[in-house]
This record gives sequence, C-alpha cells and structure tokens, in this order.
Amino acid sequence: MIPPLLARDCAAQAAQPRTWLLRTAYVGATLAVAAALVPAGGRPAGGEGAAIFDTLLDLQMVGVALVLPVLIAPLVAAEEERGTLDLVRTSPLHPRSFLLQLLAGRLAGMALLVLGGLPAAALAYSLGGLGPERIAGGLGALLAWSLLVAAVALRCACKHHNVRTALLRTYLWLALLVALVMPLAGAGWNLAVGWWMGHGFCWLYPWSAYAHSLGQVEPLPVALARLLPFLLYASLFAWWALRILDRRLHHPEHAGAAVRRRWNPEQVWQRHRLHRLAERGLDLHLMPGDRPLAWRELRRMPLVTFHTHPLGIIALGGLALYILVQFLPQVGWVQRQSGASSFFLVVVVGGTALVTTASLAAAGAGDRTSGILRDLAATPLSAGEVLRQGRAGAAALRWRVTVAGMAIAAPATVGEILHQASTVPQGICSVVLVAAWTWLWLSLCARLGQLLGLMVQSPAAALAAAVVAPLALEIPALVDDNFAWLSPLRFLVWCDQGLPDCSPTRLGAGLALVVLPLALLSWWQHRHGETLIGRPAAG
Amino acid sequence: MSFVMVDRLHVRYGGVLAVRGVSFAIPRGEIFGFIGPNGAGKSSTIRVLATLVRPSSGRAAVGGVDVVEDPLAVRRLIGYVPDEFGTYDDMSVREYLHFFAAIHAIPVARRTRLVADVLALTDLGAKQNEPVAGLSRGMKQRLAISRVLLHDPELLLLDEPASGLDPRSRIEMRELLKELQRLGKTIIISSHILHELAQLCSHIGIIDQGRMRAAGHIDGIFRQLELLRVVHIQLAPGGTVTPAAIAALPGVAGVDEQADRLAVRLPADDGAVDALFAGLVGLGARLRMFQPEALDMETAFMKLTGAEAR
Repeated sequence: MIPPLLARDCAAQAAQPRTWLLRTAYVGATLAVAAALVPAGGRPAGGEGAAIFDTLLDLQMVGVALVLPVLIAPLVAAEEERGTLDLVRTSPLHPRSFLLQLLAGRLAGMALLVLGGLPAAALAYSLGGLGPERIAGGLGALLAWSLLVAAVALRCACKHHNVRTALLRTYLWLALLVALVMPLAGAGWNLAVGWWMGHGFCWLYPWSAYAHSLGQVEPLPVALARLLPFLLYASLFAWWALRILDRRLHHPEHAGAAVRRRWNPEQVWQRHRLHRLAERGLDLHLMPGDRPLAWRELRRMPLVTFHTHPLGIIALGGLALYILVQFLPQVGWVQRQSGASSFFLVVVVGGTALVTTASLAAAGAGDRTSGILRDLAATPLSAGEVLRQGRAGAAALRWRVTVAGMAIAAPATVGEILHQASTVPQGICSVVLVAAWTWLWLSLCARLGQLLGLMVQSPAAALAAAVVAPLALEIPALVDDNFAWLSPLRFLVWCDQGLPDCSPTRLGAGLALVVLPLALLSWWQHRHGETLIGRPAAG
Repeated sequence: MSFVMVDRLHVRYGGVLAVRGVSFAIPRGEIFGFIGPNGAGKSSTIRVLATLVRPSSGRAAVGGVDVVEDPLAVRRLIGYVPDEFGTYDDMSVREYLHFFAAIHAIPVARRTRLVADVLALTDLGAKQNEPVAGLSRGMKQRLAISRVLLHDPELLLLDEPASGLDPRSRIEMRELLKELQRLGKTIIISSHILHELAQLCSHIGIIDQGRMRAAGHIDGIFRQLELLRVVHIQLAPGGTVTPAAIAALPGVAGVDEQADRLAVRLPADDGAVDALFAGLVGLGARLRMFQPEALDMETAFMKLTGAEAR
C-alpha cells in the first residue's frame, strides 16, 4: 500500500499543469542542446557522443541544483503555511515518516524529470565514444549530486518556517558548499596529507572527483567510489535535518512563530528607520500588527542578517581565505591571470541581481496576497512611496551582498584593473564604469522583480519568473558571441576591462538595453502606481 | 478518576512564559470550557495536551498517559482542531477524509463505511463530492470535526471552534458538540464567546496571563465567587404584590424595577429559584413571566480577571 502522504503528494504534482509543462520543456531543452552539439554538415567522425553526454550531464547537474530545492525546501514550511502541519503532527504518524513520505514524493518527481534527459542521452550514445561505464559513472554522479542537493534542501525545509526563506537558504547553502566548504575541505586535506590531485583539489571535493572521473575512463567501482564524498555530505545534512526536525517538533521555542531573542544590529537600524518614517508623518499605529513595507521586508529578509550570523562570518572569512590560498601565492599580484576579477564581478553582481529580483518578486506577491498593500493603500502614503519602501528592504540587502562580495573580490579586481590599465586614471575610469553599470543593472532588476511580484500575485510563480528573467537576457550571448553586447553581465566584463574593442554603436546599444527599460519601468510605475498597489483610480 | 489531568504546567517560548503553573482536571464525558483573553495561554495549554508543544515543566496526562512520555499513545486518544486550520484545497470532502483515515492507519475495508458515518453525523453528506476549497467557514469547521472523529478519539480538543461563524452555524456547532457529548466524548473547548460556553459546558477554567484563576464545576465556581443569579418576573396588572414585598422574601438579595419587569437577584444556589417561585405564589402574585437567566459568566470572568482582562 502506498503511504498516504506520498500518494497525496504524487497525485497533487501530477494534477498540476506546470509539472507537465516543466517536463516537456526539460525534454525539449536537453534534445535541443544535444542537437546543437551534433557536428553539422555530414556524418560524425565518431567519439562526439562522449562530449555531448558530458555537456548534457553538466546541464542536468545545474538543472537539479535549480529545480530540486524548489521541490524539497518548501516541504515543511508549505504544510505550516497551509495550516495542515499540526493536523498531520497530531496523527500517529511519526515525524520522520511524515518527512520521508513527502521527500519520496518530491524525489520521484525529480527522477521523472531527469528521465526526460534519456532521449538526448540516447542520441549521444548513437554518435559513439560512449561506453556503459561512462554512462553509469555519469548517472551515478547525477544521482549522488541529487542526493546532496536534496539533503541540503531537507535541512532548510526542517529549519525554516516560511517557503521563501527555506528556498533562498538552500541556494545559499549549495553555493557555500560548492564554492567554499568542499574546496576548503579539499585544501585542508591536501595540506595535511600532501596528496595532490592534478589541479589542487583532493577527492574530498566532489566536483573535482566528478570532473576527474569524467575526464578519463576508469573502472566503474573506482569512478563510483569517487562519488562517496557527495554521499558523505548528503548524510551529514540529512542527519542535521532530522536533528532540527526533532527539536522543532518538540520544543515550544521551535514550534511556532516565537523567535529567539538576541541582539541584532539590523533591528537597531530598523528602529532608526521607523523613527524616520514617523517624523515624516506616517502614523505607524494605523496598522496594528502590520508594519510598513520596508520594515516588514527587512524583518523577513532571510539574508539580511547573514553577515551578523556566526556561520556567515565564518563563511565569508573562509571564502576570503580560500581566494588568498588559491590565487595570490600561485600567480602573484603582477602576473595575474586575466579575467579573474571579471569572474568575481560576474559572480557577485549576477548573484546579487538574482537575489534582488527574486526577493522583490516574492515580497511583492506576498504583500499583495497578505493584504498588507490594501492596508497601506488606506494610509496617506503616495503610491510611489509605498513602492519605494517595498524596494528599500531589498536595497539594504543588495547593498550588503554587493559590499560583502566586492570586499572579497577587491584584491583580485583592483590588482587586475591596475595591472591592465595603462594609467591610473584609466583604472579609476574602469572602477567608476563598473560601479555605475552595477547600480543601473541592479536598479532595473529590483523594479522588474517588484513589478513581476505585484502583477503575478503568486509568490512561487513570481519567484520563478524573476529568476528566469535576468537569466533569459544572457541566452543570446551564450548562443552566439555576436550578441554578447545584449548580455548585461558581458557588458559588465567590458566595463571592467576598460571597454576594449567595443564600438560606440555597441556601447550605446548595450547601455540603452538597461537604461531604456529602467526609465520605462520608472515612468510606468509612476503613472500606474495607484492601480499597482490596489488603490481605486481617482474619479 | 479524572480523564484529563494538568498539573502545575509551565510553557516557555524563549523569554516569554506563556503558561504559569496551570492545573485542572476534567472527568470523563464532560465538556470543559476554557475561557481567557487573547494571549492568556489557552492555546498553549491545549497544544501541550495535543502533544504539539512539550511543557517546560509540570505534567499533563490524557487517560492516564503522560503527553511527554508517550505522545503517540496520546495522539490515538485525542482529536485536535486548531483555531487556524488549513485544508488540502485540491481534494474533495470525501477524499480529504479518506486521506486522514489513511494517515490514522484505518484499514481500507473500514474506511468507506467510516467516512460515510462521520459525514452523516456532521451533516456533510450532501457536500462529500465538493472541493474543500469551496466550503464555507462553518462547513470547514464541520469538516475539521469530521476529521478528528475518524479515529474515534475519546478527547476532543477544540481551539476556538466558533470563531468566525455566523449565528446559525454556531447553533449547529453547539448541537453537534452536545451530540458528541452524548456519545461519551470528553471535550475541551476554548472560546471568547462566554454565552455559548455557559449553555454548553459543565466545567470551566478561567485563565489569564498564563495563570488559572478558577477551574472546576460551573456551579461551584459561581458559588465560590458569590455571584448572584437574576430572575426576570412580570406581574399581571391589578395585583397587590409590591417590589418591597418581593424583596422581603427569604433569600432575595434585591429587586430592580425595570421598564416592564422586575429583576430579582438571588444567590447562585440550586434551590433559590424554586424558593422564590414558592414565595411569589405564597404572596398571591399573578405571574405573566418568570424567567431565570443563565448564570452570568461574563460577570464571573470580569471578577476573576479584574482590570487585566480588559
């Protein structure tokens, strides 16, 4: 007999049109990528299948990292937000059984999605160069990576009380794991044992093991053994998740909305901000129990206090250490590899853009559905001020993420800019260009996210749309280098490099691509702000 | 022996002590009304009994089973309806009940009959194929009670079940709860609507700021508080009985003259109303109306909670 929660979850997923749309899109995308990689104009020479399979596997890894958290992170929070968690908890079902049933349902959904990649894999197999060992090793890596992502998402699902926080924290944890914890563990192991493998990471870093296993044909047991680190980290996170779940379900301080009280500099700043709002004539008592958007946004923003959290400080410190260890001693200040600073810039600004857009989209939709906008519409605040307040919280977040990221990237960035620029003014000009472009781009993302959130009115849909929107702009540049000027992130790299080989036409077009939509959005929000916040039109 | 026993219960949320040494006991088959202002600790106490919150100290037991030592056994004895409960809106009423029957591990062979019985008891049979999302608030409350009846619990924990209901739904809910009491269920019900509780409960507990101000049988509490019962009488015109004569009857604490009636205040013991009636007959009064009021729970509540309850 199928466990009831598993059955219900599978039935609910199958009943949603978006599940089928996603699966169809997944099959289509993998086939399109495979078809694009097939050598054009004639029969293949043989052996191309392996390269196509590896590319497909990379894409599926990214797909799993993006999609699986969306499926698993809301497991507990969604039940809590829906108000059904207590109903299940007062049944004789054991909490772990409850969690495993839901998890199994979501993993089944993900497995069906990944199976959609099989036609493309078959196409790759038909082109030759691909043996069963390689396929098994690749699929094993995909499975192990899926388990790791699932375990991280499960930990956040058990920890957080709302869907958005659980989802964003999952992505944050994954980014930290891939970019920091696992490399550091690898580096630590290297230093301790002196066992170097190729490019400097040891087998404790799963991505390295994965790359190593794909790079050469190995006996299947060896290739699979290299995946053990994934399972090790997955086990750690699963164990952590169950510990958190036990605490959350049994102790009152973890049971509801009660929050542990601790000193938080963010709250001091919030109070200061409230005073400022009160001085400007906003009667905060108009909304007992609710707060102005900026206050709510800051209070609920999951990443705002990240840098004050001990884990955050350790993570940021570790990341800085990692950069120092990995880059500076090897290449030095002067003989730096070109592109390192651009890489950091793209990661920091691109990540911030995604976080900003997604946060504002979810917040905008949440404001609409929770009714807080309706309450604000009844205050003397202008529509522009309401929208501005909505963006203020995210602006604070954006500022912090950007500053933290830039601080980490600063040694490489400044070193490279000064190294590449022939004169100091030219270097300063590059820095100014980067800063201005970043500000423009993030402003556009913020307004776009807010607009999407307010119009779509579903936090999940708005979140998805907001993540896709900035990424969509990068697609033309990825497909054809001639369209690179359409990519805001590529444009950022040009700014970083002092705009070399950039014709005035392309420069103008690239600038217009962000400045014009920004102006258009500002004008549109100004004109239709009242309708956007749900205030009846005058007259 | 008491079916529900709570002894010196404390519940702490971080730095906030929500429940401070609450104690009470409820005999099997009784309806216990839990009264208190918002934030008094009613829901926290009920959540402890529902095994959702572990007490910081003190003890709570249902049917002799400690809620901390054996929560799974307690869950088989209880049915919990929270104040804000959610539903799986993509299900129909019947699917919803089948789902929870499966969660309670009720064998498939018994489920169809059981769901039909529960639907009949709560008068939801006509709605069984309708989506849960389309039900009114009153219907959803009935569905919630249907859900907790599936595994035939001995204790029902109802947290504000009448909030948000229209008068008709409240009356239907009250009748349903009386029916459940007749079936032998013990019921704990929290509510702000004191009048409703006065008509329904045999035992009450008045809680304020985490402390139990009074708990026990409703009559005992009224006697303990020396509250007065009011009887409204209306005399036929032309009679010779005066308010002063009524005030002089034994046991009468006072008489207030109102527009079309007299309000006679009596001590809250069982025989006072009968004694008044006999006294009026003895005086030769011709009565058009003789209407004892239900015990005044609002007065009791205000007296116990004082200014803090406002």
